[in-house]
This record gives sequence, structure tokens and C-alpha cells, in this order.
Amino acid sequence: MSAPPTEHAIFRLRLAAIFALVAVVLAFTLLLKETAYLFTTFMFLGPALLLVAIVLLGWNILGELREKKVL
Amino acid sequence: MKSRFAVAAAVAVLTAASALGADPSDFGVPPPHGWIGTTGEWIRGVGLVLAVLDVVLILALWRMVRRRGLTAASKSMIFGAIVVLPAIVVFLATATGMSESMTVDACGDCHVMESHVADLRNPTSDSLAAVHYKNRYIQNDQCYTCHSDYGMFGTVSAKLEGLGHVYHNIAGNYPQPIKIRAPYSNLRCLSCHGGAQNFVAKHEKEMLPNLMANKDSCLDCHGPAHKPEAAAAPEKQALR
Repeated sequence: MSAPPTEHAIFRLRLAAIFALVAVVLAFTLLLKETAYLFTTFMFLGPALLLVAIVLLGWNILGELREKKVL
Repeated sequence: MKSRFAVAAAVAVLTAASALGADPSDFGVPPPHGWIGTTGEWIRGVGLVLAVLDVVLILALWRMVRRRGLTAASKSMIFGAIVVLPAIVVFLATATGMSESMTVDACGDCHVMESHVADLRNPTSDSLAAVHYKNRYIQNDQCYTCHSDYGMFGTVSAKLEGLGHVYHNIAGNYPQPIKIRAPYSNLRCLSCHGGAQNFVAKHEKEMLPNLMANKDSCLDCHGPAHKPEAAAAPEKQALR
């Protein structure tokens, strides 16, 4: 039985979800109708936000693996 | 049941793509028998469907985690919703964005370029750009084809220049009338025309070294490249 996730872990998870959601919404808008401004915004924000989301989620996964003494 | 789902998925993807007006029959030519769309249309359609799916999944997971906490099932779904699906969607959007940013419409997005695009699309214009456009010497992405360097880093440098163009358009700090930043390289013309029979027949061999070295310009005889000042109205012309 693993311990419930800490508040920090939940916060990181929520942040990761929000960042991924924003990246996907930007991508959706770009796929729907491209403008030069939207493309520039997406190229700066989209992959960067997704990367941050993946790092935050990875942080949680690593934390849990350490807690279970897998790592 | 599975085949029904597959048909429904294919219809959703194609509907999403066709709703964007990417029409292969722009010129009244019917699509070939068995036409199922271009790679670009499929990329766009799949991207749109996956993006909607991911948004729904993230919102559903958010609700599920709030109610029941983190379970083994929700954890694996979170990985899919935050890593796998967004990575695919962002990749497809990047590919579409890169491709769409090469179109004439993308270049014409900036107000300062409207007269250039109007001249390009003007069927009565005799500027070099208009002649290339109306005769379909270049089928797609006409601005990009002539104004990007070739080779591995041509696209990258064109995109970086485009970033500068967006900045100048926002800041409004470009000189008018706008001018090309560096002299136009003949190599861009020669990469298409260089080996063509009508080029070889009409140009002396002795001309080539000077053309290659940009000592003479193709535009000396074949210019002007654009006549933005002659473009009657900035609205988009009939030849699209």
C-alpha cells in the first residue's frame, strides 16, 4: 500500500495538466487556422510548455519510484 | 463493431480536414480516382481529432482525480494525456505550421506585403513574380520557393528571417517601400532554370560565370521582380 501523494505532488500534477492543456489548445488553434502570429506564439510556447509538463510529471514519477524504493 | 469504429474515425478525420477548405479542386480539376486527401490534410485532420480527444481526456482525468484520488488506472491515463497525446499533437501542429508558413497567404498576412501579394496574383501584371505565378511555373508556395535558400539549412534560415519579419510587423519599424535585405542571388533562379533547354538556348555560355558570381543579375534583363506600386487594389485577386 503506497502513501497518498503529497500536496506538492498533486500541485505539480495539476500544473503539468494545465501546461499540457494550453500546449494542446494552442496546437488545436494552429491546426484549425494558421496566422503568422499564432505560428510564432505556438513555436515559442507549445513545445516549451509541453517540455515543462513532461518534466513536472517525470518529477512526480521519480518521487514515487524513490518512495517505493525502486530507485 | 471494430470496422464501424474505424469507418467513423476515418470520416471524423477527413471531415475535420475538409472543413478547413483545403480543396484539391481549386482549379476545377477533379481529384484522381480513389483520392483520399493529401498527407497534409491527413496530418491536420488527425491532429485536430487527437487534440480534441486529449482535451476531453485531461478534463475527465482532472475530475476523476479530484473525486477518487490517484489510482493505478488514472496514473497510466495521465501519462497518455500529458505526455503521449500532447507530444503527437504538438508534433503534428509543428509540421502543419511549418508547411503552412510557406504559403503565399502566410506571407500576405502582414499588411506591408499585401501589395506584393496582390501584384503576384494580378493576372494582368507582367512582373517576374506574377509571370511565374499565373503560368504556374511554381505550383505552390511561390514566395517561399524564390525567397528561401536551398540545402539543409535553407528552411531554418527562412524561418528565422520570418521571425524577424513578424517582429518588424508588430513593431512597425520597417522602412517603406520595403526592400530586400540582401541582393537577390541568381543561384535561386538558376537552381530551376539553369539546366532548362530554353535557358541554354537563349543564354550564351559566357554569361554563366558572371551570373553565378552575381556580377550580373537575372533581373537586369528579366525584372522587375515585383510591381507592388502598380497593384490596383490590395484585395486578393481572382487567380488563387
